[in-house]
Amino acid sequence: MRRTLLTTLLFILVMWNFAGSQTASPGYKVIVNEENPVSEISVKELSKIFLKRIRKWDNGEKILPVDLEESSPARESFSREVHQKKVSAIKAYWQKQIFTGRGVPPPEKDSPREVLQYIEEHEGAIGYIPENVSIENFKVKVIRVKAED
Amino acid sequence: MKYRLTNFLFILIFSAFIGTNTLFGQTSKLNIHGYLTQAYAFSDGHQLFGISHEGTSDYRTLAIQFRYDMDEQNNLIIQFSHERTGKSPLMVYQPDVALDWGYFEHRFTDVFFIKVGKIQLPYGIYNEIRDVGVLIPFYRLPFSPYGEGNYMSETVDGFSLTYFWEKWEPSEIEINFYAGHWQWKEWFQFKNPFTGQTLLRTGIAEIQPATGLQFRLNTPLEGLRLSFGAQYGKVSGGVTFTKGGWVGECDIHDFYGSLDFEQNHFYFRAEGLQLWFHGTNIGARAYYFQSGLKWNDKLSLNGQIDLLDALNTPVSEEFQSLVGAPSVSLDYNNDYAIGINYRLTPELVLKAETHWNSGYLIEDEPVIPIIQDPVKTRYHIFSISTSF
Repeated sequence: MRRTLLTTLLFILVMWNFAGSQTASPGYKVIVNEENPVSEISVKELSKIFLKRIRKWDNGEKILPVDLEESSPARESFSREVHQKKVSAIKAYWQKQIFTGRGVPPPEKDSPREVLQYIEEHEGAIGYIPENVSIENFKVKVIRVKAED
Repeated sequence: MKYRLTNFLFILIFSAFIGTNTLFGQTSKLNIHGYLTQAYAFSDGHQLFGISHEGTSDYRTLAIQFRYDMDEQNNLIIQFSHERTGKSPLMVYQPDVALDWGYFEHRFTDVFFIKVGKIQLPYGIYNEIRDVGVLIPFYRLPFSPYGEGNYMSETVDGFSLTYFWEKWEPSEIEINFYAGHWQWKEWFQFKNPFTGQTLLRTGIAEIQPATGLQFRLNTPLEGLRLSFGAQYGKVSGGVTFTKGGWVGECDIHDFYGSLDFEQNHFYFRAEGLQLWFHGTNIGARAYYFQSGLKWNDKLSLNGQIDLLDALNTPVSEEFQSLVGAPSVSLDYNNDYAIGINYRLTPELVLKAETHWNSGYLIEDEPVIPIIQDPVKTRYHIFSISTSF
């Protein structure tokens, strides 16, 4: 009886941990044009770039963030992990920015392939795609996302 | 007929742009955005804010914005609007299509920029987005302190400087300084208690020079924002501020403060304004409290208490015998509201709201504020808002 109880408890703990790690998994990778000298970026910088609070790379090149369309699971993960907000909250942020005349949101692409093409075509571009999507045959590279500065 | 045609053409152009903004994708230099809120409103009693007992669907705000990014540092932004407020007496000043704002913006850095032209006033939580239905919980902003064009300007003709101070992240201070000229619309109607004569007066007062300063603070506490501001100007003309008029030409100044707290399922906002006419003891105090619960991403319940006190309103000599004082303070407008919002998508919101109003703003019959109790009215607004 005690063994069954312990096994059950262990199973629950393992599943809990598994579920936790699933939730924590970003489910996306951040990519830039392969000519871009940047190899890593902090979460805070990434958020500011996608909110257009940082507009230029260190080399002076204009940053061109690109989003996936709003129903994409990778967009949801990115928003939750990077902005600490739901996609709907970020949409509201941009509506406010637009109608106060402060700026317009990054372009939204319908598929990871379109994001890859956009980044390949624009040297200053940065975007994200689902983790399981290959970047082979595109002139882009994955950069590391640091938790802190 | 001419106006109806203009309306029709404007709405047609607006509709044509909905869904086509991808043509002007954000990598293009030209971006086009817009919003529309259409309402049906009726009152249970008196007419108020243009809402009659018979009801009106001639109640909407619609705007289209063109933004041209010349380069990294320079932008040109123009917004046109079409606004209808039913049978409101202020409709005489409302053209079919108005220039909401239009300005040139130059960014010295990412955190410091100047705007020159007709600029929306950086005033309180809501002024810059006052008509964007998808971003506000009720059809319109609280009358106090945002007015409805009445003793309130939405824009300044001049310039503004904005600076973001990010030294103490995650806190951030946004500082706005602006100067130039603006206008107030005036409307009131009054009944002489002795003669029964009714006076309906509308006018436009000029505030020039006018200037203001606002600090907006994003605090380290997630979701809490505070702002404080002040405005100063010289007011003349209109109905009340002409030489020898009820108040006369004078200086005005006001101070205001805002608190905005928002968490996942709850928000609370409060703002207060105190206004004085210099050299007199006449003034106004306007404040509101607004709160809401979000059941989920779609459904939310909202409540609002909106209060305006007219302070030391002068009483002309002939009426002083009635009130026994040279001036009176009045509960000029008390408005209590509840509403329910259903957000079909982030860009499409349905709203239903009921307001219990008590005050002197009714429009269908003259009131005698100094001796009459505030008039009670209930009104209802059903609206749909969208943006792109």
